[in-house]
Amino acid sequence: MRILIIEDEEKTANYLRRGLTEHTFAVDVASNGNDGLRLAESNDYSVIILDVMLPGMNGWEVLRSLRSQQKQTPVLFLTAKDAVTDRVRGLELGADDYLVKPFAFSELLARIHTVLRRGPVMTPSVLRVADLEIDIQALRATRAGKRLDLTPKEFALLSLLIRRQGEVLSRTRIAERIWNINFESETNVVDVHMRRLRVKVDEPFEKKLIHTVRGVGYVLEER
Amino acid sequence: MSLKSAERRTSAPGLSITSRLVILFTVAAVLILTLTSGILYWGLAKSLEERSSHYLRDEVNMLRAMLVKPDGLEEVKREIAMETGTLEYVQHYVRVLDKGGNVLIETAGMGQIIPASAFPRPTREETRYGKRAEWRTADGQVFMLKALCTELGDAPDRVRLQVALNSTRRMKILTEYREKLLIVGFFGVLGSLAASVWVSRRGLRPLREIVSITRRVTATHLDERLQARHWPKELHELAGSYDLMLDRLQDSFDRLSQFASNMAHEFRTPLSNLMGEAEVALGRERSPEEYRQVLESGLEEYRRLGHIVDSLLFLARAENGAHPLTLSLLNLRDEVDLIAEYYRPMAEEKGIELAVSCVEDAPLAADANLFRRAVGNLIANALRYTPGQGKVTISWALDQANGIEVAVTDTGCGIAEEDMPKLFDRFYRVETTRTKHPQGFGLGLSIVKSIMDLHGGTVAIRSQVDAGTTVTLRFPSPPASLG
Repeated sequence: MRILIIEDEEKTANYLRRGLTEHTFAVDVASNGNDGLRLAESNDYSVIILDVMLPGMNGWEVLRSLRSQQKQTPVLFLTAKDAVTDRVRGLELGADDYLVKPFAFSELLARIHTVLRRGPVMTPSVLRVADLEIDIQALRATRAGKRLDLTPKEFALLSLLIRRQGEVLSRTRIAERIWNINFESETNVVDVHMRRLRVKVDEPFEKKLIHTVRGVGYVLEER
Repeated sequence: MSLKSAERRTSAPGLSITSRLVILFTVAAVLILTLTSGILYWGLAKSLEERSSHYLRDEVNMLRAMLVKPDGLEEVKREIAMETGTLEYVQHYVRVLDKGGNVLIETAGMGQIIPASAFPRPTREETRYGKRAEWRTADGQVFMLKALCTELGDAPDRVRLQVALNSTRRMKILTEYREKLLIVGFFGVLGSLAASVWVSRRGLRPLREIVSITRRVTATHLDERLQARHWPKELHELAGSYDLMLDRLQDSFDRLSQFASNMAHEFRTPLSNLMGEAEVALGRERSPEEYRQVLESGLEEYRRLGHIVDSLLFLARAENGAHPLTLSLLNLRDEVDLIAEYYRPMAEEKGIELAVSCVEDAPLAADANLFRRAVGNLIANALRYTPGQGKVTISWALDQANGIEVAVTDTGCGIAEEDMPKLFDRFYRVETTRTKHPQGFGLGLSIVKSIMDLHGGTVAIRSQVDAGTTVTLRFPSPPASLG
């Protein structure tokens, strides 16, 4: 899958390119609005990551011009201004999502996946990672054939991790998804919840499935 | 702000109070002087005229008394001749006419000065003193005239008696008096003008002093106060409220500089961690695992910095009202349960009981996200400062005004009296907790306060050292539109 990054900040562009390339995306970078628009017009990208503050043609103009040509490539815009009007404006112009700087790379990755996944997605009712199996409809989780005794929230947490297996989930994202708490608390409550979940899911077993990615969040995968 | 003050500077100041006072004083002085002079002049004129009039009346009476006597005409003639000779101070002229208008007798020279026709028509006998009139001769002499009919001795015929009194002197007195009054008035007005300038300058001196004191107030010199001095009653209140304003400003300035230095401190810690770790790591070749550790540790610090920036932005937006508020009717019970559930494992790990003590539901109009954030911050604080075996309770109640009070009570270490006023200051942390709980950075309660301000509510803290703390959020009653 091919991604276009339109960003004038060299450092940002570089780490985005490297990070996304390592996550198996093909990445093109444009350092100003005009080049970016030209590339976007002549290629079919899966996603465009667009900075708002650009020299020459700004992000809004690029987006407007793209949409006026009936180019429906999903656009994720980056802004340093956390003003509501900015966000609303971007979404009105036809952007698909936005991220406020500074953002976590894992968050960007998650948003890209979400944008790409849009549309009818068939989620199987039973998900499996190694010997861990959860049945979302029956609200039942088993490991090595043994039933895990989970509270409803723990079950929700585990199914979030297993649905996004291999994807690092930040604490903020977890709190938002599971408890509808969308602010970063000064205390790491999520860590406590994860610790409890691990006691039930990983501790009795040889093979650990839930991993801490220090400074980022958590990931469930077979290593 | 600079724009505003520029506007203020360009608008021209109105007339000064001194000029206003001087103008008003002077107008008043002119009015009073004119009025008193007028009354004095009028009184003098009246009394002089009355005197002349009496004199004339006496003269007329005397002449008439003479005329009615037999041989009266001769007696009058003698009298006139006598008076003419003496050149009295008050000159008067007498003329007696018969029915046909022929002069029977007259004072010598009267014919040239006052013709008979100048006199008013004689009145009948019933009006005893007859009508009065005035006559002005070509050379400026003024006469007061009187004419009447009367009997003449034993003869059956009636005669006309005309008497004229020279009042030129009287008029001259009045003219001179008028001139004196004008001069006195002129100098009086000048004098009162000078006096009013002096008086108002002097009276307004405290005001100028206030201005000069106010000029001395700057950001670095905020401790200037007006009430140290004794002001006149009118300015006392102004000085008082001005001082209160300065108190508030000074307080805000102090907080602001405290805020800035605290903020610098909060940034300095992660930054120095980052710099130090990176430098040490680059000091020599290391294994990939070691590099990884440095990067991971750096990431944690970046998160911390990012979090501080986010919180500051939230506070700034909330403060200038830019944060959108999406009010909805919340199910308080559900909301509180959700938050409690989120924090409960943490409480349990510390051996603290986290309880929701109220059962009944109550209508709460609030922004759901902000409500969770406020209550979440309070619970996090309570858990942080409560030792094991303690208890944190979330409760709520309707108050008299139909508002809702949500309270988070803990049995923790409490807050010292001297820390209370600064609890809501950004980055303020009680010194002992700064070392004990390095993960916080002192924005939690500021955020709670901002959230309550956005809702038009209040936060109150009651605390007792070593006994516990209760923080109460008061939300106003739901607006009718959410009914």
